[in-house]
Amino acid sequence: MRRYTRVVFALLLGFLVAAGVNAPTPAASAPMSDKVLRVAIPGSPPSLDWQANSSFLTIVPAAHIWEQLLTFNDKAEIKPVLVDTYDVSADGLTYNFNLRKGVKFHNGREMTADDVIASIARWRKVAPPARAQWQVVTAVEKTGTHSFRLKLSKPFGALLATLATHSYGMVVLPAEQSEVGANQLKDYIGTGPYKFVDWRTDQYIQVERFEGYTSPTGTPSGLAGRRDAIVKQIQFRIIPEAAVRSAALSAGDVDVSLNLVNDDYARLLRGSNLTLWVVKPDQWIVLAINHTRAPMSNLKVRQALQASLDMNQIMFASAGSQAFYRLDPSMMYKETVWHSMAGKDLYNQRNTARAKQLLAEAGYRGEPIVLMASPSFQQFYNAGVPVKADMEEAGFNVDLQTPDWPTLIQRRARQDQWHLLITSWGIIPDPSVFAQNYHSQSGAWGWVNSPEMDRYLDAMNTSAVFKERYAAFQNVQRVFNEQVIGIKLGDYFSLRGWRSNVKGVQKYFVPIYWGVSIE
Amino acid sequence: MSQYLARRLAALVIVVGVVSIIAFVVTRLVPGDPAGAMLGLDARQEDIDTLRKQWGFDRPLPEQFVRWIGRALRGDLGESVFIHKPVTRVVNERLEPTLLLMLMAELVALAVGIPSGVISAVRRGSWADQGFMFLTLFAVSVPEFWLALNLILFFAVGLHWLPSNGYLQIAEGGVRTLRYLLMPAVSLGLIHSALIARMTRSAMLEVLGQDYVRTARAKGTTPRSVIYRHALKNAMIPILTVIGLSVAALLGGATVVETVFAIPGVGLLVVNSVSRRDYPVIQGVLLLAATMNVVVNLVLDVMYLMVDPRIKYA
Repeated sequence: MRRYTRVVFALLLGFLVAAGVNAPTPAASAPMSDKVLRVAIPGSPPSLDWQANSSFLTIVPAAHIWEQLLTFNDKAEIKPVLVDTYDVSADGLTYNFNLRKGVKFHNGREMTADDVIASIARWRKVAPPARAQWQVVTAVEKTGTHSFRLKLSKPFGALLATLATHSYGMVVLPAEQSEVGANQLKDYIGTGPYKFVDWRTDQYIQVERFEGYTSPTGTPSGLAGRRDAIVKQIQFRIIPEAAVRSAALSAGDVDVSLNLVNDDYARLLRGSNLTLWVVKPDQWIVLAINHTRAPMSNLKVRQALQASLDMNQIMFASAGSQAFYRLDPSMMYKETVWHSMAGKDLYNQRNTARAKQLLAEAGYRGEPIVLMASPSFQQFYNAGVPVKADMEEAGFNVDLQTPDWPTLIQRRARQDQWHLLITSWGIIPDPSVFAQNYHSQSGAWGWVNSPEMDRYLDAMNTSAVFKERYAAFQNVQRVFNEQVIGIKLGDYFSLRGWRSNVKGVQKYFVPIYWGVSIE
Repeated sequence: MSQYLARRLAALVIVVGVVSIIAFVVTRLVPGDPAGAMLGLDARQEDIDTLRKQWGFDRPLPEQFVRWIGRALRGDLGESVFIHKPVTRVVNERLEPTLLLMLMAELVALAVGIPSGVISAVRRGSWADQGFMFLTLFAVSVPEFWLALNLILFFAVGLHWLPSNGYLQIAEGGVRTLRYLLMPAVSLGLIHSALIARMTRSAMLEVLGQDYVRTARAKGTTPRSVIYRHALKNAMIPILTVIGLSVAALLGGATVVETVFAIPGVGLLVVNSVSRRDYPVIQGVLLLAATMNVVVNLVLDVMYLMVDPRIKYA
């Protein structure tokens, strides 16, 4: 039985609660300030409902308002947030969780196991990955005011990762909100270091320090560790034009800016009062394939496509500069323990002759191939043209379509509307998420149907032992390349910057601003 | 006259009716829907379908239209699927920056356009004339967003005189609100000043050659009085027409300028609503824009009467 205990903290907290003292914010070392941190973000979030959303724009403000049971640190290790201790039974079928005591919602009420159980119930309804992956969870039972238990029908190695992952975050809401539908939340009440103040559509989202906050302990790392709300308010300002975000940062109208234009990098570097950070990695760009529609349903045609592509050229066009991309065949980033070179010989072949030969063997007769690259995301759109050029050189007849993102989503759902599209995988702390798109049971767009892929995905998600899971993942990646389930184009980086008087910014892909001060 | 006005107002109702049908059909013809836009990058079809159903967008189009138009006749344009507020309220809240921006841009356009047009006409063929006409050609050709970005780089990043983006409501900012609108108004207004200058110049040239102007000069009227009281007043009809047209164009231009400067006006609202496929808001704004256009044209026609007493509407 594995056991992670934070005895000292629990004892200390227990003592303070018993003594009737409000637990102080543990960071007495961080002096609070009355300042407002202005953060430029590129658009309005679709909603602030983190349980029902994977949008980066949702996660950025929401991560300050709500908290998860578990999270990842910057090494992708799972760490507790609202949970104090947890253990897993030897057979992997029972998970026991003890919650931190004295944690308060922004409405002043203390969080209990009832809130957590209600939140899990809502999350299982509104978060698509939870619906799919948590089918193995047969019971969520309360075992005490501050403890609960999960029972599984079969071992699920990625269970803790699903609780810790950032997209569709399993955050705890007050139990009263458990019936609120996806994206229909109107009262934003969490347990986070900042509480919601105001959202003016298309202008800003404002949060303010929550004075009743009790923080997890430990050195801050990723979303884990101590959370000191130093600045009094954070204003997430919506500035849609990337060039204007750069200008606003240079002019000092904002303190931090996300998603700066890569092309501005050199100019911004000359400004001595700015700190710039290349977010490395940010996402990997993928050429997704519709497996149901001829001729892409033919493996030889897919292999021809794979052989024809010159990734360096494509990624250079996508990112605009060598500082913002890297070629790497792995489905999991170099920075993680999961990185693998399986199937690397099939990546970046630049072999037009082989592509032509494969097309001839497949009996391809110049049927038009619909390739969708949406200008709503510049990096996808820019990759579209060189992909088309490479394909045409190999003999494909390509119809490049550039719909906006909502249109693309609608067409993507229909098997007869497209063959290829360009999209990306963001930050993936655990490879279990690949089952969402590449498992035949998922029913996801792309409609992959590979028994071999299913077998390795199942093996990876059932085991709880890293070595076994890693071996299975390597097979997942090998099959991904050999059967051309999709085609990875490359790792893409983005650019973030802040004024030099802003201190304590963590270089983590989720932009978090607790622990940040303004001098 | 009153009969004429009544007829025009009746026409207004018909135009708005037709526009409402077009607005409805056009928004629904665009592929994509609000559910897909809201659920984002990795949305699953079943979730998209659930939301569509919840909002009633899964019903047959004619049924949706009848429901919408029925409510619209009672002044209810529906509720924004994204902002969760009635469309009329959403649009109302966004009107202030847009109207102020259009007003300021129009002032910039007039302040620059009319004097430069008059000077060019009076000094026809001179360096001043050619210089102004070159500048106006340049201003017409420059895209608003390019001008806007350069103004930001110069006045906000370089000189730190003006805020680079954003907006303060008048109730909060008072006079400071104008600081936020100055660069947007210039980038929007300069283009229209060019049109007004060119129209003023040609109208003035025509009038300056007329007999009554020669008579006025022969009477010994001061050149200033000849130009402004005799010539310009009579050249006003075509200039007014251009101004009227520019109001419509300003509303279009405001969508670009508001997006660049992150001004939360009707323009930015409609741009974002299109990408969110927020049907009720798009329809509401289209209706508003059409109504504004018709009203502006009506006001112009009435102004023709005031400028030129010979015009009679039967």
